[in-house]
Amino acid sequence: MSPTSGRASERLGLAERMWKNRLLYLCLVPTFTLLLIFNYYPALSAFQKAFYRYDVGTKAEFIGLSHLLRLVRDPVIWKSAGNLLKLGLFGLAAGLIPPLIAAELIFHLRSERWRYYSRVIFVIPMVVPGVAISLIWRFMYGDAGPVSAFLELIGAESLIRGWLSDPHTVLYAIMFVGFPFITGLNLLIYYSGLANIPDSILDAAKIDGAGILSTIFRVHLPFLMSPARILSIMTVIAVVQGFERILIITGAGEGTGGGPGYASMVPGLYMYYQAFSFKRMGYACAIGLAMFVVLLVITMLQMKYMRSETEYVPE
Amino acid sequence: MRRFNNISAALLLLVLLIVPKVQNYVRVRGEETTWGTGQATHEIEVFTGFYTPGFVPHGIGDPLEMFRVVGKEYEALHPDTRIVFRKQPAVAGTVEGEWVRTQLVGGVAPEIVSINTESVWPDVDKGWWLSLEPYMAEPNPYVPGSKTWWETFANQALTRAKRGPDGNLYSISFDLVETAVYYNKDIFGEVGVTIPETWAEFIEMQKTLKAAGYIPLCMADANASDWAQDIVFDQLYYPILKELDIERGPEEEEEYLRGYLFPKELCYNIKRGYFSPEDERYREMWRLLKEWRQYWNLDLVNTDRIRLFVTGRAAMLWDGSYFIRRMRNDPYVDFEWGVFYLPPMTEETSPFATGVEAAVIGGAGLQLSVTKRAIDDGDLDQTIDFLRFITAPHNCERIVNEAGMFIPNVKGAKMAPHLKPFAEIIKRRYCTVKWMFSFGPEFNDYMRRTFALYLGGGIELDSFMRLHHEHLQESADYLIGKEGWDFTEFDKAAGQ
Repeated sequence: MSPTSGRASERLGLAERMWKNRLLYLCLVPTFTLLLIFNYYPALSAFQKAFYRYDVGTKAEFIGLSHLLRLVRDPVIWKSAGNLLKLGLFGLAAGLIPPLIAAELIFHLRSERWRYYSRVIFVIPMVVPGVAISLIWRFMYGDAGPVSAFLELIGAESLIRGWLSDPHTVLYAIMFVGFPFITGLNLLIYYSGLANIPDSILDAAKIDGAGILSTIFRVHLPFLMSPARILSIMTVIAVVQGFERILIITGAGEGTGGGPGYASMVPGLYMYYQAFSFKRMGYACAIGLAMFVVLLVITMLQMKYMRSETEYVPE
Repeated sequence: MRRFNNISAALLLLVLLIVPKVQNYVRVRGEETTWGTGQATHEIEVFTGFYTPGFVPHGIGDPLEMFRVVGKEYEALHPDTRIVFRKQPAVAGTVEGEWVRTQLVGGVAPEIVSINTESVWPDVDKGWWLSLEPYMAEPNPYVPGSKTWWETFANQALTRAKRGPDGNLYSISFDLVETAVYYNKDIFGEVGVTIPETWAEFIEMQKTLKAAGYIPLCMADANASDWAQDIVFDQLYYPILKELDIERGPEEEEEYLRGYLFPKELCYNIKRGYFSPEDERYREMWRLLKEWRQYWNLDLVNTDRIRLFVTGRAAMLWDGSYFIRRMRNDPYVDFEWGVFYLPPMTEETSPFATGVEAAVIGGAGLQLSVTKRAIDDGDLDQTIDFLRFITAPHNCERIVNEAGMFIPNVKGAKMAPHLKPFAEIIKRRYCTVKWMFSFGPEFNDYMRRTFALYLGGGIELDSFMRLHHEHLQESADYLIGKEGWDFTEFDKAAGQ
């Protein structure tokens, strides 16, 4: 049998199998249809619109690469990309390290009951909507908010400032939102990673005389590389795509989210303003396209370079 | 398998039966959803801004209901028409009109929308908005004896001055709003300051209040780059207004505008070198604003400025007449308070100031525009008729006074007595320019950003003025090109 005829028979086999299970495939049709309509079509349509001058309410006009060229020359894009880089690096550190420390602490608790309660305590805040958290932090940074009140209490009045009105502090104020950064989901992912380490390996480490730190760095961390990779990918995607927090915290006035100036602007928010405030839907789509490409490249790099040397696969 | 197929068929049938009902449900839009089985053949959706039924201004007191009551009365008079009140999602940080533009693109905008008319003008050429000019020339059937709808409005000049650059009116001015400085009399008494007569005194008393540990004046980010700038600009440029005011508006509008600089005049003056880094008067304006800023709340983005004032941490709050409802109803306001208007600038403050009375920056409150939806849905006559119905004195008075935040702009509609100070303030001359109404949302956005950066210490005056000048030039060039303005007549009038 030639290789070509082999592939043909494989295809035939696949078709036969699909026909046999046609009802199951039929059940999948609505899901895929909805996915295509509400996820893929808008995204592909946006990619197309990136090459059009498309002011909402007017006819779209093809302009080739003009928007992408403009994007490269737009100083706000570079400023917001710089802000995003800072937020992203801080977000990665905050999303990976504190939950890991918390997971280790919980894992080392002797009482199973306390381990359970500790996990629950960290998971409960997950039900608070992100918008509510942003609003709480906006209040915290206010003139009568707890941050300034605390500084006053300890006699550090000279440090009090308009945290969100000062271009030198606004980005750090945004970074600090979510302190102490122990996200419930991240903690659970790490904890499940720790819980999956075979007892035999942990026992072997003990027999070899490994202390707590040695066990963490030489046994736990290699096993946690897989969860860390997933978390880093999720964090990067969330940071690049997310702008709601910045919009809510800095955008109380009309149209100045990401300010003062562009001190806290990020590409996602800039895209939002271009699309819905300035009616430049085509340019907004070009920004979206660029963000997609950047995100894709970063994710591929993460997938490639953040590989775990030790990956335990249960039998 | 046969049984499974039967179940699938039954489910499909159920879906087919439900879908038309769901469609019917969805078609009947807005908050008052019904199954649409009434006799009404016309449905008018209305977004009435802060008068939206169910809305509780400042979160204090009973929800507003009068617009709904008036709507029901209209329905009783016109059984073929239903009035549906829509709610607009409140979104922080968005440019005005964003929600309605999205609704217009989707073809689901309400027929009547509350929106500042200046936000309507940039989209007029898209056919989204209806000119009300022909209807204004007709009588209002709900005002006996009226010859035109125009004449039924109280502040004629202001109502007419809301015409767009193309000379058409796109909104009716339902009520009037004005700003004032609310002040805490107890704090004033404790610190020993009084209502200032001049700007110099105003700054001095803020200095005293700050030294006493109070936040002298509460200011919002948006108001700083809008109201504050307008007031200071007016004080410095009024003395040379004759040089700048090249084109007089229609006589009927001039009574209110009195030398207001329209976008075309602004563009012409920008091209003549005014409002540039070399314009000392303009530089002085930004310097004075920065000087004033040190007496405001630290965080301008913060929205709890009202809380700062209400809880006695701040001595003054510059806000609109709408805030008086909060002051009258808030049980936690346990101090004596009053209102005053900003004092004039004299030479003591700046060599460019002459002590002319400070102009007002308020004007129309609720501005109602008609969208193309009225035409698309064949409800135009009913939409206009409902607008006329609500501007009958009795209806306007009931709606406006229930909220107690604004002054009715219809002849014969009485004002709530507690708004008298604002009615006095609004008699003043309108400010020389409203930058935020002149060039559109993108100009406003950049203006606010660079100004906030300057106020926050991110850039110095020279850098700010350079950025601002570049932006003004770009905006003027864009507008001149878009409108195809020729300045030959202006040159002649200016003697150049």
